[in-house]
Amino acid sequence: PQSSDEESPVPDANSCSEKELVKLFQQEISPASETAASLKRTCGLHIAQSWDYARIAVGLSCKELQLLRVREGGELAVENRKLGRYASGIRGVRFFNGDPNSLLCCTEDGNVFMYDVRTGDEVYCFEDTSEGTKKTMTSCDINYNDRIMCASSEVQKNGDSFLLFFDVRERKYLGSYWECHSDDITHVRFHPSNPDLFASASVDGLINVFDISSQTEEDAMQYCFNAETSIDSINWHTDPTGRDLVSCVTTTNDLHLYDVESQDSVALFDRGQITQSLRRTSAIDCNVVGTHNLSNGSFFVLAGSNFNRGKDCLRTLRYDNKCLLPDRSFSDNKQIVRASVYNEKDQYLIATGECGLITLWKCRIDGTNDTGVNSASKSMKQKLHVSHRSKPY
Amino acid sequence: MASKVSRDILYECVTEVLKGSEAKQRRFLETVELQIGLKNYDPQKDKRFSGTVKLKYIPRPKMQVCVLGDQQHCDEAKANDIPFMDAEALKKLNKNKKLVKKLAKKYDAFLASESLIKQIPRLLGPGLNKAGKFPGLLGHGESMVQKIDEVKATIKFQMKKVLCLSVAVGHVKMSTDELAQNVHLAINFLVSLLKKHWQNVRSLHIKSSMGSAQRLY
Repeated sequence: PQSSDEESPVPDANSCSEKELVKLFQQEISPASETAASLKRTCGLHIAQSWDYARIAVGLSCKELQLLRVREGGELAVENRKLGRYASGIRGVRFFNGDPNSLLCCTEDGNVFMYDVRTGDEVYCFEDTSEGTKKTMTSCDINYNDRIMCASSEVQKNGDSFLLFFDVRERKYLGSYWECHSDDITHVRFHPSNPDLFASASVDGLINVFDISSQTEEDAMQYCFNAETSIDSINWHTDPTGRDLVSCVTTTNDLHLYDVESQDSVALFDRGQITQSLRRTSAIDCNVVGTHNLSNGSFFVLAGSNFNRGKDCLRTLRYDNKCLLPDRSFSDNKQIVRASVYNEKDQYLIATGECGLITLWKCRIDGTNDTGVNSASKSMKQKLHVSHRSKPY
Repeated sequence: MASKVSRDILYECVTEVLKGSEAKQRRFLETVELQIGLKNYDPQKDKRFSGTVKLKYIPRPKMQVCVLGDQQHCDEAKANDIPFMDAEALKKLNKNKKLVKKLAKKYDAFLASESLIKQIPRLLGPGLNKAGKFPGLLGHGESMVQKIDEVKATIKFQMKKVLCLSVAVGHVKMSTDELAQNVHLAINFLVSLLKKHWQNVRSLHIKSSMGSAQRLY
């Protein structure tokens, strides 16, 4: 057992009183549901949800892919404990955008497996059949209309790093880009509604945006953003006027935000600023998990602290006009969170992390929530979070 | 920040490294590296760590930076004897891969004005990307010389899969004080990158290119 003093020179703690925290984050939300991925020690490193929010797929560090159902009310139930078992590590998990039953999983040794989650069958395995040795993969994504899949690679011995494209329907390798990055590509993301737009991010600090309808890589490369430090992950957003934005989380837990068309840097939050917004004291313990879009057009950042193995702090910060504002605080978190998904319809946050647990929190605050803490506040902030959408059935 | 490397040990090791290089002079300027051995870190599970930090003293004085500038920046570069190119000069390369590659090889790093940086893909294609030399942003509010010194003083830590890494933190012509300060800054930053901080550090050494390693931790 290690004393927390040894782990960080300045112990991480809340930077304000409990009373102040409740005022800012409204209340502590307890988990509605939690399940352990496995009886053996493992980490949940990747998570994806189907477009209808009915299913979750989790990629574990023990090289297994697991499928879960999210039942009405937010209860998590394991549907297939070992949907996939691999020889090498899992590097990405993605559901199709239009089909809630098709799932992709890419592995380090250069394969992208496709599953039908209803039967649990492996339907196909996309392999890198490009020239040379099989590329080690780092991430994958599928485009808006589920026709093109892209997998990114590490930098290979000859100095090239690849973006490998596959035709999903024809089930064949289409070609690759290899000139736009000089180091491991860490993340790839297609635009949420434009099937031709695509962004890649790398350890080299660059975010490249491509229009893949162009003939050549050079013509496809539309924009280049230099974060000037290694990037861990990226995401697409829209601003209130509908303009495309792209954000990235760096390996030092900073968040950068760019306006794609104008190529302007819209905002930059370093880990010190994020730590402050979170109301914590130790920037070196800050762990930024990622960003999620809200249905009202904005987005939030999920971040926590590594202190005390992640148990002390897991919160969200809402992005609003170049500021990160306190949003939600989640209690009873038992692990350092590594991946998350957000169900916009029901406002569920589902996270997985270093203890191999999968936890669901309900972010919606209404009169009938079951967190046990009755927030009597009638502030505007609370009213904004009450869903006005009627159920579809 | 509290450090597990005492000031005494730090200065002792730095002195040894500098003494060693002085004793046997080489025909080139030896770099001083910080070598790090990690522990309790699993590259398959733990978050990748990598980051850049600006040191107090420039570790690589011979680093060449070229400015890709708008009119104002080109004038400033000219006045300060800094190599530069304007949009016209870049257009003349005609997106020729060989010429862009040659340009990339000529300089260690590039800085570009905001208006130019947005045109790089159009003007040059992916050549600078491939070379790992895509320009950093040069604003108008800051001194160009200062920004260039900043670039020269910045080092990058990058974990590569094995549990050891090394990074250049100085050179043998630096004073004991300067080198010690750089090493101290580098160590503190490294520790701040690691999830378990000092618990992830197994060993620390410094050495000059041709000298023997001195153990700090």
